[in-house]
Amino acid sequence: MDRARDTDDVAISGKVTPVQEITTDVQAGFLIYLPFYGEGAAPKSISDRQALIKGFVYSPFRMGDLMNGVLGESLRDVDLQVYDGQVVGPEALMFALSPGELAAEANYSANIPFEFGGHSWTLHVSSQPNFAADHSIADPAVVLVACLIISVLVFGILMTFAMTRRRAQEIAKEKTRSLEERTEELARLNQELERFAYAAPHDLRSPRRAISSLTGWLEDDLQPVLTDDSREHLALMKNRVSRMESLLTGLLQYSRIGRGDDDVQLINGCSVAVDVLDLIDVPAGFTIEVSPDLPDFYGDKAPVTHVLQNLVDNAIKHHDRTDGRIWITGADLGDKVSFTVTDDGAGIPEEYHARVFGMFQTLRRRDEVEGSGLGLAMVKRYVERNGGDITLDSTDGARGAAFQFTWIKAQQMAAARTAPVSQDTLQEAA
Amino acid sequence: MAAQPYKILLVDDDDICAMGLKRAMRRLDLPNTFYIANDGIEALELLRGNDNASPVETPYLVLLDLDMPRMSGHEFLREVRSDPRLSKKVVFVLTTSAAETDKVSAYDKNIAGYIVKSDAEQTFLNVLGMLEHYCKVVELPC
Repeated sequence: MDRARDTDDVAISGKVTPVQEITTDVQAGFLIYLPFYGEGAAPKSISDRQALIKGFVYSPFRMGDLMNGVLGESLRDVDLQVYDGQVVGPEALMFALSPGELAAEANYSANIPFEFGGHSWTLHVSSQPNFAADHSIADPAVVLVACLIISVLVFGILMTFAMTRRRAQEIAKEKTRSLEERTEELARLNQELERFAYAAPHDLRSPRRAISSLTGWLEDDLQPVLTDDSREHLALMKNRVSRMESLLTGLLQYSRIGRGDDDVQLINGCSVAVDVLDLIDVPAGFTIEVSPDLPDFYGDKAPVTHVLQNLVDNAIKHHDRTDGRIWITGADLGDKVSFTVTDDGAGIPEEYHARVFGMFQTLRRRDEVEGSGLGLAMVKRYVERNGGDITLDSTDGARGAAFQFTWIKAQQMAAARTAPVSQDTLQEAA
Repeated sequence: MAAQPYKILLVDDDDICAMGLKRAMRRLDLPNTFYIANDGIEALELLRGNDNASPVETPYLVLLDLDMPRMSGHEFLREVRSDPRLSKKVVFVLTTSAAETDKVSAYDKNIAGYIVKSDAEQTFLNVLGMLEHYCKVVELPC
């Protein structure tokens, strides 16, 4: 297969018993490989071919069937054997016209080596006993006929190989084209989907705003005649309309993830945590402990901050008590860092662990806990776009949940320009 | 000489926006005349008028939405800036889009200000309050 890939040509394997081989009538065989490369490219060098290879068209051949197809029933006086390689011997035997008469002494025999498909073969031709009996040895006409037969045989075999090869190339071309078409189609659909995810929230905002305005006006104008019921309905309506806004905003943010350029800088883990705490309205009963040894690393600060903020937000929002503790810890893992947000809330039952990361998933009614259901989906998308992963640790029956994510460090050289953070700043931030 | 009260041309395809502005004007008790065009083409027709006489009296300023059918706000601005009779007009963009590209592109065409419509009446009250002050202090082109 390597040979096929590197030469951009048909390659034929040595003798094998293909796995497709059925149990009765076991025949030796060989495999034909034809490489195909992606992007309609015709790679020139070996390294290009190695880089662009997409796959192989491969076809197993049963030698016996192949040869019988070529030869038909026309040969009675001549025996024919095909060997893999240049050594004639039972291990290398691919095909024998008269099985079981391998070692028979023959009056006339010849080995004809030939190269095909980057592989060496030997054609062993010998006369059958009745050939000698039927014909006088000295008869030059017989020799001539024998030679002619042999020539025709060799020609026939090579023709078959050539036709097989052309057919294989056609199949490869066809496969390559349909693969390319499918790849293009997929890329187009993906683009469309992204455009849709981006445009839909935009377009839905305008009618939502209109509903919001109209509700407000109705409420204002009808103030003197509104019953308590209607007033409550209007309040609910306004609440749902503003929930829709938060859903749309979330959706828009979600679709924007990964659209901007990375702004790589040296990130001080503790200062990120401090930023996060600034961004969050921490209720009076909650304590958030930031570990002083959060790692420093190179990366894009905005998404890391966003992920941490979402996790801490969630820990507070979904806490079952009005007082609680949340810990932010972290570690340097060499080529990546990890952060963990742990809370002492009610915990998340294991059956929901996979579901919490889905889009629009919430474990409680939105009337109890207001939320878009996109927070963790966004967290997951941020983390996965970076190449890290996120896990949830929460045991059934025990309190508390811990969300841990890893974040791949950016290439150091991109950030070498940034001045290192001094130890003083670190302690301040901590 | 007493300053001419300024007029407002609102270019927006959403009727709710016009209603909101009307309500806010009523609330603030503002007497200003105000015209409505539903998209860029209508606005241009209105401003250019027939036989060089526009039905829109000067001085006026334009409140312009960006996302509209037929001719968007950006296209309208391009037309206005390349028309010698209209190029000096004061245009505020009043839109739901907070996208940076929209903002930059609009300021490139010399708008007086970019206002993002947020919820309910407060935006309109703020806008009209701002315009009142603006037109008291700033001389509008005729």
